[in-house]
Amino acid sequence: MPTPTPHQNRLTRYTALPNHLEALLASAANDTLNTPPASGEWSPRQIIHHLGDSELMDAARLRLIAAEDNPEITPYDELQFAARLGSDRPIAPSLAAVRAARESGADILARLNDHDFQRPGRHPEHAAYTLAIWLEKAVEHGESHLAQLRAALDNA
Amino acid sequence: MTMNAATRADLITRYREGPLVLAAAAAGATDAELDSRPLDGGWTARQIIHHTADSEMTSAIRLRRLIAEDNPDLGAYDEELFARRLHYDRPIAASLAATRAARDSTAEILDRLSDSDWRRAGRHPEHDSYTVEDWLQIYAAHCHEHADQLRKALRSPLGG
Repeated sequence: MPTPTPHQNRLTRYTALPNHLEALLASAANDTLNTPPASGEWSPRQIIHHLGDSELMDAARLRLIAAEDNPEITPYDELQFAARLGSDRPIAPSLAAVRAARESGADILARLNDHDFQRPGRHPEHAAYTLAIWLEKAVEHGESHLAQLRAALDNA
Repeated sequence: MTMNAATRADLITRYREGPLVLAAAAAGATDAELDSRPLDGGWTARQIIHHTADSEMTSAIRLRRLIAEDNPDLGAYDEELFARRLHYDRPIAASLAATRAARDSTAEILDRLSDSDWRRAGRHPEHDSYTVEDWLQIYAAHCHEHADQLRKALRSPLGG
């Protein structure tokens, strides 16, 4: 079998996140979800809601950049989101949002060509923000929160 | 416009039911039926389902910005460009699931809003004023409207 290219590797990791999240949470006791690993840090429940919200946001960004010409990408304040969007919510709908955002996103990504991945958007915090960079950031963002969640559950 | 709590509760119920109504309208349709162009030249059933998913994910983000940010810019997008460029010939399952997940996760937020949250407002290029109540009024009907459109598209086949 040929070695996957870095791009194929990122697509595989993009698609895998919901499985990793669900496997990790399947063995987590419910009473550990509200315990932050340290004062001022996010609890497992807050991490999951952050992922649900950020994956919906990323799904919208993917579509804007793939469909529109050099669209403006509007950042959001993730700390305000965490503080104001009801972090006592049940986790199942946020996990389903992560899965659905990535599965529908993967259906689009699989149909884009090399040229499409160079399409740009304008993000005020990044000098260059192409679809390839969007994908790289999405993969790293998901995996870093997966690691944060694993550590928080281990600590609880 | 201000709503009372009972009106809001009715609209939230409708909002939660929308994805089920849309999925039921598409249930059992063959690929050929999903791709058949309505006589008026409008979107096919498959295109309607992808539009609804894309729009509902954007709508979920708009609600979050309205609650978490002060007078946020809600942005706009070109739905015709989306339909042309986002491969609306894709399978429908992931878009039906995305519609459902966007709404289920957002409904949990709606259930927890205070009276003053419902009056929060943002800036939308196509609306003079856009409060959380306006958002609910618009989106409570959005899936149902597209389910009606989808049933018509399935009934008026022109054959691809």
